[in-house]
Amino acid sequence: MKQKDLLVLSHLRQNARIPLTILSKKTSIPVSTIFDRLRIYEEARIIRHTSLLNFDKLGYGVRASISLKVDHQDKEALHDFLKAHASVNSAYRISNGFDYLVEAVFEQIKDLDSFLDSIEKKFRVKEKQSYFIIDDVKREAFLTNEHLLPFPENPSLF
Amino acid sequence: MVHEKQAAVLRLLRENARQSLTGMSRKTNIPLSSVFDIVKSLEHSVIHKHTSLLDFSKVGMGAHAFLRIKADDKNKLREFIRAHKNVNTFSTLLPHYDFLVEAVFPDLKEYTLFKESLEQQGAGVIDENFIVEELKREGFFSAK
Repeated sequence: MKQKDLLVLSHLRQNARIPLTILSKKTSIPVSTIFDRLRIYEEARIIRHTSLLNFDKLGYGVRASISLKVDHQDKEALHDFLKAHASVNSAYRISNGFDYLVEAVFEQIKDLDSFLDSIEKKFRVKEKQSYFIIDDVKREAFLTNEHLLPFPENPSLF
Repeated sequence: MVHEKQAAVLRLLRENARQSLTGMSRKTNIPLSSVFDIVKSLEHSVIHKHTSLLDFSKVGMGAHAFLRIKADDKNKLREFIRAHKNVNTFSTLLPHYDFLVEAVFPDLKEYTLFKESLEQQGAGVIDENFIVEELKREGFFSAK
């Protein structure tokens, strides 16, 4: 990727609601070019623009990081279950022993227990690990610091 | 906690944080001035930040991993991880482990160097998982 692309992405990573006119001033790239580039990013590099939540303040004080290994025949059904479940914030298929890594949020610990129970009732769980996420130190921080962008010695322009 | 109108706006922002105030006003039937006030109030309470979620592989980061770490030297390791440019998310964890780290690298060679650095900076046990497929990201409180 070109340096200017990375610069625009870094500003969007810092604040996805930044107006294009301000982004243009900060990057010295014409607004029309940024508009066009944004469309390209949205088709390829950006999954979506979102607002990250402070779950505690929203009333969801329990967050868990859960690893799951299930019977081979249940993988597809668990995939669909995790995708559709309202308490699952993020879910990934992973390597290294387990099948899925899940981040889920709940109001109370008993809700987490019910979630884990429901998984064990619906699917043949071979192994399960669950940990509490206590505090965030960094969230979605990659490519947010323009001073740490790669290739600073070679600023290719559009 | 948020009230009903705040929740409606928040769900829209979770689905697309770049959508306009007028668009949100139209979709929610909430007056534009109220949507403006609601967004400001959410930004001062339950919204951590607005960001663009990246497809890491499309920006040249082919190695995407989550690591659970038990630290021998918590403070030293915490500072190292916090300052590392390839660390995307970093949380404290309980029990058994101290930290949960999500990091992205161009390739496995770079990742291996990072893991070696973690060990030098006070990591004891490291449990690593590579992401094969993303099912859902930041999907809570959102239709996405």
